[in-house]
Amino acid sequence: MENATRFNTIAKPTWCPGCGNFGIQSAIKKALLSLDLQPYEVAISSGIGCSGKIPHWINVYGVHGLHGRALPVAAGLKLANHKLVVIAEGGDGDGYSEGMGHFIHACRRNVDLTYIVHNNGVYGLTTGQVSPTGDRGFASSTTPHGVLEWPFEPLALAISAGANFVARGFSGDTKHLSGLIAEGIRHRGFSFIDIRQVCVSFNPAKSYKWYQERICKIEDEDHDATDRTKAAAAVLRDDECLPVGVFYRGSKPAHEDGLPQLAAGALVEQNITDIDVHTLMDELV
Amino acid sequence: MMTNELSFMVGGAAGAGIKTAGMIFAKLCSRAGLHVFGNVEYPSIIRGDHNSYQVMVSRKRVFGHTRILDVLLALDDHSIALHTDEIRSGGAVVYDVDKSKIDGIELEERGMLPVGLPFQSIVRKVGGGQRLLNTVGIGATMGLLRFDFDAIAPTLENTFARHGPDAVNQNLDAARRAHDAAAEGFADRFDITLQREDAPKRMLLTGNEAVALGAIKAGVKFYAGYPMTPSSSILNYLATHERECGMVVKHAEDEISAVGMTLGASFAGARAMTATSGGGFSLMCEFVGLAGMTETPLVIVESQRPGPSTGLPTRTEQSDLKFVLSISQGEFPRIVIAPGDLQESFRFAFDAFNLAEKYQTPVILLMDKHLSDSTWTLEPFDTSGMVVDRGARLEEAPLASMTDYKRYAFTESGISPRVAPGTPGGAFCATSDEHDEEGAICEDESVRSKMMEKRLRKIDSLDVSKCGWKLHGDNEAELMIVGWGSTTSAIRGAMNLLANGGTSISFLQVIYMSPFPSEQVAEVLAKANRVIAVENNATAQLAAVIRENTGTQIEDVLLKYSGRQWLVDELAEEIQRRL
Repeated sequence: MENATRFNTIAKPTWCPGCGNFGIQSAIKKALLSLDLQPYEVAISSGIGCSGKIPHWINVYGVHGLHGRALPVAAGLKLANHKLVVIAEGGDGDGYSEGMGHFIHACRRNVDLTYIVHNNGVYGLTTGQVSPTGDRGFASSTTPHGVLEWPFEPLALAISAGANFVARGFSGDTKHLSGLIAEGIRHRGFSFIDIRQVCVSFNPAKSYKWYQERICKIEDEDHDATDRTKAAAAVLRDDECLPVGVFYRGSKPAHEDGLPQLAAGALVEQNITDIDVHTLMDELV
Repeated sequence: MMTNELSFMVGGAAGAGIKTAGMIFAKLCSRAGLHVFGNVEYPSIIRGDHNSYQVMVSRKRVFGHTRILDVLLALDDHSIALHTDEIRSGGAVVYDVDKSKIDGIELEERGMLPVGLPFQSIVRKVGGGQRLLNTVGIGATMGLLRFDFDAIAPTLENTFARHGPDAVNQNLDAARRAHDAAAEGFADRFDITLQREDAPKRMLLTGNEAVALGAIKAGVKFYAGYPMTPSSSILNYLATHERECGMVVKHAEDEISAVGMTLGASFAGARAMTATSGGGFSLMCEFVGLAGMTETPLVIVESQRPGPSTGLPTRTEQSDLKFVLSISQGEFPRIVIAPGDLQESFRFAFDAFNLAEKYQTPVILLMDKHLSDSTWTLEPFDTSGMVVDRGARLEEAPLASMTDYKRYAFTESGISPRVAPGTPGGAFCATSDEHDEEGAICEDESVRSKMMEKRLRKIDSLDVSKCGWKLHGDNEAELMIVGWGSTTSAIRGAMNLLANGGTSISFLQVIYMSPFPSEQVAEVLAKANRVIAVENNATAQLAAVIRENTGTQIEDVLLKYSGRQWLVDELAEEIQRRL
């Protein structure tokens, strides 16, 4: 379509130079362009953190809401107007600390939306506390003696909770990442993409070089992405390689498919000017 | 001999069908053209303990219920022990003489009419099980009241139809036997009868059903909630009618998700609502602030129950007023409305959506268990003149000709036209951070100050000088009661009782809590001879809100905070004592 810059905003991000968020921002825009979407057709619901600010810098409708609460808002957006392409987005502190409960239920609920988590192992905007994916022993202002909790694997949790599309990406490979995001958007149901990224300010040890030495592509291996058990094994693998790509593609019907009241059109398209409640009142006589 | 004026209660253990029995009795009376008020009392338990359902019956509109009972249908002996002190002299106790260990003579000596009937033997003759006991009880009560059985048969059939023809026949048979036995053995010793009256068709519904209907009429298309007594029946009613009404109803994983989905749906341009009680509203707090900051319409029903914390989950109180008025950090306008009866519950639920969209604020409808869960007869709502008004919204066409649409433009009224996702030309980012006119995060002092003023002045144009309060009775009366919410029922009932005894009092009902009708309330209070605030909480919260808004201090207060509502006769006595 004309205007390849239509998703650009005049305002520029306030992220640190070298932040992994730039790569993710670029990959999202590329993905939206590749799907021939228009700005007004897309809504991003984000949480709070450096990553949460992203809808200010992509020209779409955005709700930059509450810490950990991007998913419920995204579900409401989508169910009210299922013709929108809805993306829920935020960081790992936002999504896996505060928002962990909503994450699990969003996987179960399988509304047709795409959840993108920027995963850098720390809380960036509040200056570097360890997140639920940070290594055990990580020293930060709140864990000066090293955090005692172990990191969890979000992809395994997503698979077991029923997400219909589960993938991992890397902010340093925007071409591959934009393909993942486009496929996630196209894939019906709840699509989850955890994106490893560098935080140059607060987690410099996990640098671009660190990631590039470990990243491998799951599609280069003989992986059956239709099998949940194999997908779970693949994400819990504990070796030197950090695989990126699509681990699981499920075929459950989306939540909206169970709502016949949406067949005639989106909720927001209904005429509500003169609703008659006389039949309902008669039922109460 | 009294006709068509009755205070009836059925009591028994949880799980024994007490609520069903009470509802059937209420329905029988309502279908007979009588006014009815039903109050259900139950502990937070599934089986055992004690449930009761009280039905007030009258040929005139009933506001609330009395402590005094005319008939107690006791489905267990525990009910008799609990309620005999409430039965008036000459009042009847209907009970199962086969199973009960009660001494009828003792009841007689205490001035009651013991109506002991062989429930178990009736059930056996009919070939049914223990589930028939409450029908036997209802039949017996109707016989005692000499209510023509043929008048009640169709409603009984109707009630049990969904259980199949055998159930219908058994219930009818059981009810008739009990009816005839009671009529024959006891009716001539009892001083109240019930008979059909000619009256227009009336609905029998709860406050929550009235709210649900008002919301449906307003065009609500999305509802998300989490079960919490006493708001759950709104979720249940809308879920039952979801497809018929073309809406989507979600039981979310928690209250935070429920209100989050509601806000998302509202932002998308659908009329959306959630409902909860105090504990759930505590969880929703942060989202109320998000609605305030992003200027997204949000309608929330808060049906109060006694706190603090889990409190008394199935009882009533009006102790969240100040909490609701100040909810969420920072300063932003919110609209808070407290309906006092069914009609207002329906009307204000409808209005809430117009207000939320016009002023782009949270609107909170403040109810409580007594209003949400009680049942009243009411003629079908008059829906003429109820017009949906969606406020300032921009569609594609006007946007196309605007070079720089600013979602949060500084306007004189403070209200800026909004735009729904999916609309070409309107893409913007709503943010919980402080922002400039375009919605970009902004920390500039001058912009911040102007944006605060913009948001705060939005509800200045909401005129509550007339709709925000109501004066019942004569403002020349020697005493004025001030109250709000569900206590309206007891206060108006007490007013009638006192008027019968020659005492006239007036009642200032406050309806809009935010914005507050300060000038009018101050004026009315200044003219009153004597003022007493009647509230269902421990700290006189309305009196405090009145003082904050008007400077007027109400010294005399009548407070009840036992987890139960004010009863009509109880309140009338208290008022009488203060006169």
